[in-house]
Amino acid sequence: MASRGLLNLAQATEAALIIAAQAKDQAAFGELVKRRQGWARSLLRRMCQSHAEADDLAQDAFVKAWERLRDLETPAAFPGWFRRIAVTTFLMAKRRQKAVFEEIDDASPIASEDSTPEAAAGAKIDLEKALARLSDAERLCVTLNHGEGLSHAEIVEITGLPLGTVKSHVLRGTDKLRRLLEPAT
Amino acid sequence: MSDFNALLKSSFAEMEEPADAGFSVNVGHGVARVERAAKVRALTQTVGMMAGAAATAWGLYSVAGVFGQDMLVAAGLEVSRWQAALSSGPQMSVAAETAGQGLLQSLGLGMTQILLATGALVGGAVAYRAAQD
Repeated sequence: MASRGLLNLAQATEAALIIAAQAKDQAAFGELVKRRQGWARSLLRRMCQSHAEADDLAQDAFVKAWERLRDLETPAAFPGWFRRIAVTTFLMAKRRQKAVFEEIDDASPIASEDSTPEAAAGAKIDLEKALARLSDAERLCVTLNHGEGLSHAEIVEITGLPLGTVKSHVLRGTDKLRRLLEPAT
Repeated sequence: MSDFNALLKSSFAEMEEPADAGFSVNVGHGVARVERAAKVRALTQTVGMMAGAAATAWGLYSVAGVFGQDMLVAAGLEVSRWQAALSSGPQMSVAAETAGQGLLQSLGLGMTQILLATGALVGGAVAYRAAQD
């Protein structure tokens, strides 16, 4: 709390907020949550099928981050560090639900059925719907690969899944998305 | 990279990023709850440690009260016996044997105190462990 007087929260850098939060400054952490909530909630909304579940998991992830913030060695590592917490929170929730690897094989197209260039814009809108039709594991791997730009090896490190499984989920998930989003020719 | 993969990446990048004050407030409540729980845990731990320390001190005090004098006497006689063995031979060993018997008698008579003191020590250890958990 001693750092509060020295720190103008709205203008502070993320690194300064993280350092203050590591010293148990709840206001600094609150500002960090404000700034990072969009990214974190969006990440979890891509992984979950419902926005409400994603927001609940995002809240859990932020509270866990608060508890473990002292383990964060450098503020610059926060995004990757938090992403790992978010993914772990998601995986734990799915394990509790015993629903991680259920398969969804319905890959009938959901995009507007015309093949004009405007269909590309439609595809962006429908991505969320298409993601909801992947299995949990495929959605997780596709989101981390295409959405977060992680390599297969990085996904292995975060999720603990075998490399072959990750590759398979990314490939099959991407293929399903292609079939769901691209209109039949 | 295929056109589709590029489209996919741009679609991910353009997905809506939700932001509202309610979310931050809920996280703030969660953090406050965690902090309250941590304070309660710390308090419980302190109380447990104090109880453990008090029980241990009481146990040691009880043992010292009952056997302290005998132990000191026995230790003194033992030292004397060693000293005598080094200098003049076996005549001190009788006194040492008598002191040893006295200590055994005291142990027998003070069994209740021993059990109480042991119980206190164990109780203190359990209380400390529970506080740690």
